[in-house]
Amino acid sequence: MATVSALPTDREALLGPASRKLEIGLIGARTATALRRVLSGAETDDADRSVLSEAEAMLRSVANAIDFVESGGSTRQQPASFGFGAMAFAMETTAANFPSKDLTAHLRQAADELASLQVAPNKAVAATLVNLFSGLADVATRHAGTVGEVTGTRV
Amino acid sequence: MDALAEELRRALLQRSSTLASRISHLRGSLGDERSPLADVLDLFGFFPKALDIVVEIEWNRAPDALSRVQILRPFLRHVLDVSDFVDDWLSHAGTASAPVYLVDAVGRACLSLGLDERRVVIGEGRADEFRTVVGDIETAVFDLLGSHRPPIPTRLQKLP
Repeated sequence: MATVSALPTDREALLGPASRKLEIGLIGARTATALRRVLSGAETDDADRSVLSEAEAMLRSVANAIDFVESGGSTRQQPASFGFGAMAFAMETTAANFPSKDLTAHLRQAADELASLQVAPNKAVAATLVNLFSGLADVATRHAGTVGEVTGTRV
Repeated sequence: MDALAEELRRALLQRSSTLASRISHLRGSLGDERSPLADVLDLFGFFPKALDIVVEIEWNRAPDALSRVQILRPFLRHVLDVSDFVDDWLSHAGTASAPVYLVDAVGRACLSLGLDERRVVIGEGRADEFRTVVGDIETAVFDLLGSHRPPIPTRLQKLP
């Protein structure tokens, strides 16, 4: 006799949408960290380049997803490749950092800058991107749910 | 910000340690039994070790306290989610919502009705708010740890 339990749908965090937001939050946090390492003059390594590459791919996916919606679904790319749930959230978060006009151009420019940082670390370029990913980290993690305890100080 | 980063690290390592103890207890009660549940618990037992290693590496790589806070917060949320999953799905000894005496009673009732080939599902709440989630548990648990995660031992990989 095997016995298992079933869960209400609001308690499936590990396999549900909140987990995707945590994933985006960590991409933001790790990218912001890699950019701050560039700003601090630390020597970048394979781990930094891997993080920057992942963030670059995410921004390009967001831009592709916008193109797909704006084209009425007529682009050649398969929408499944965008990971729409996560992309919609990332898009909403990153869009606030760019003018709405030519949003995809700005996203692709940021992606190109991330690509350039993987080849040649540049403090000026890193400085233009760090706030975007720092904000993404904060918003995505906050949307994923409370960390279970509040840390505060009494004055 | 430095104090917040230190506090998040303390909370994270404490919860990781608590989770390790919980999994060890659950696995220990199964003895040397080889079963899907024992295999899954062995896989989950590797998570706190991997998490501790990743936290140490990420902490040392981060150039400032803000970076540490932004990385540790999602880790803390994740360790809570993994802990909840263990309690909800792998606690064969019972939970607060499905205590062991209730599990045993339902099991005995099913046996007495000749339903020993059936699987009992005990759930709380409304009958229509449950759904099956299909996903790779190894991916869900370990992928968030990123590229600094130590490799999962071969004997624990891709369980049936």
